[in-house]
Amino acid sequence: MDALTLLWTLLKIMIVLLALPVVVGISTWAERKVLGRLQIRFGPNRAGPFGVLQWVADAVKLITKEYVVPAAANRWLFMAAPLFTFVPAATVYTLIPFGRGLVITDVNAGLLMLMAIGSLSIYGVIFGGWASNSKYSLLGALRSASQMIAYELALGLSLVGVVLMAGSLSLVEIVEAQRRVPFVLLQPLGFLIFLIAGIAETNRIPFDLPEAEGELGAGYHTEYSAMGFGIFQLGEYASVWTISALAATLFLGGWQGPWAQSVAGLSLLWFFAKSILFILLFYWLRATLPRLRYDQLMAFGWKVLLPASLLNLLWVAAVVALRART
Amino acid sequence: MIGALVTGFLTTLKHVFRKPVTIQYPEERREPAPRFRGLHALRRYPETGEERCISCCLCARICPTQCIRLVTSGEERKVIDEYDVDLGHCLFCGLCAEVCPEEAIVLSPRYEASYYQRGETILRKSDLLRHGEGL
Ligand code: SF4
Ligand code: SF4
Repeated sequence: MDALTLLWTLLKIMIVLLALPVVVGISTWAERKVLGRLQIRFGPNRAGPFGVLQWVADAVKLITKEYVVPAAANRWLFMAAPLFTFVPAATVYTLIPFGRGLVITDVNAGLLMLMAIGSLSIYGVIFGGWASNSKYSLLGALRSASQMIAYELALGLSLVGVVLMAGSLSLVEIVEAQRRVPFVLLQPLGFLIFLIAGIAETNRIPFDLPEAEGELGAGYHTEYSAMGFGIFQLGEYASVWTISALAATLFLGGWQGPWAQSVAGLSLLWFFAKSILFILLFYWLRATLPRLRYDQLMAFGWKVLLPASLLNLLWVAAVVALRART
Repeated sequence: MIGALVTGFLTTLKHVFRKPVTIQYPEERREPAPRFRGLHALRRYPETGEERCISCCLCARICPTQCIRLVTSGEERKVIDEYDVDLGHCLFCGLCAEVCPEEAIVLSPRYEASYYQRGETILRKSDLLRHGEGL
């Protein structure tokens, strides 16, 4: 790798890292706004026109507040834990193709790497829950760990279907493979499984048991205040974007769309449009569904989602074999 | 189960197109119900402008939280020197207004009772009389 490529890559990383908090901030505002409308109320509408500056106000508030570390907490782990959720969530963006030729690195085992990095974020939750030295946090962390194991299996198996069909682990090539038909049409079951497992991965309603404010206070981040909490939140929204971007990339053809081949800017637009579709779905889910009970969640993960993902694999294999013959 | 999910999703989706029910508070205010029990007020006789209260202290006696404090003076017809209501303790039960023989103390429709300091939650006689204007 020569110096120029290195510089160019660094620049791209900087752009993504700088854009991420802004995008996340705006999506917290958008979530509150959309959620408000779904619940027949306005949502934030004071700071700036339509309340668009609300997230800036929130950020300023979080940054300037006192960072309280509980006396009985494991100090260093407690402070490091939020980073463990945020850093992996931010790192996966190095692998996602935002548009035609717009990707930081095209790793040939990209999907595998993505899964590996993505699963690291669970450490943040576990460390945060354990280091807080609070029973609510610990329970939240334990729940999160078992939930992740249950749903990551289904998630992984649904991704195998994608890999089988695309014949590659590289995200760029997976997008290329969907030039004619997006995978959602070929394996709708796989798409559904990915979506459900993905939502469970992000710990969002209806799978937000790790933080269940009803019974656990706020689960693993009960004891967090100020920017520690802020970074956890940043990580959560970053992973919401990750799952949305992945769903768009793996099943809806990523940046592919009319005229995306000829105009690079348009491909970026397509990618964002498709991702935002999923973001909106996240909001809609949150406004509609109650939180699942813990045993229901586990039963659903192991007894429904896992067999279904195996079934999907069988189906995909059959489709691929048929395609190869004709 | 699927049917219930679909109904739920459609319901929330329908709500997007409805007008929000929120009242935009500082600009829009809601009219309290006629019997609303808000902040206390002391009334005057509209004709003479004389205070209605005869300092019988019944209100202070019946108050379950003892948050009314009266200081009176004079022999023939007592005058009230001080009349404090501590909103920090008040239940807004309305017993004081109910027991008052002169209908002097009433609960007004005012409902804005947020203060910056704890001491401010005590309504003085002047505040009460001000609240009573037009009641
Ligand atoms: S409303 Fe009830 S609690 Fe309040 S001052 Fe009157 S009697 Fe006391
Ligand atoms: S009961 Fe009425 S008249 Fe008697 S002291 Fe209280 S406010 Fe005055």
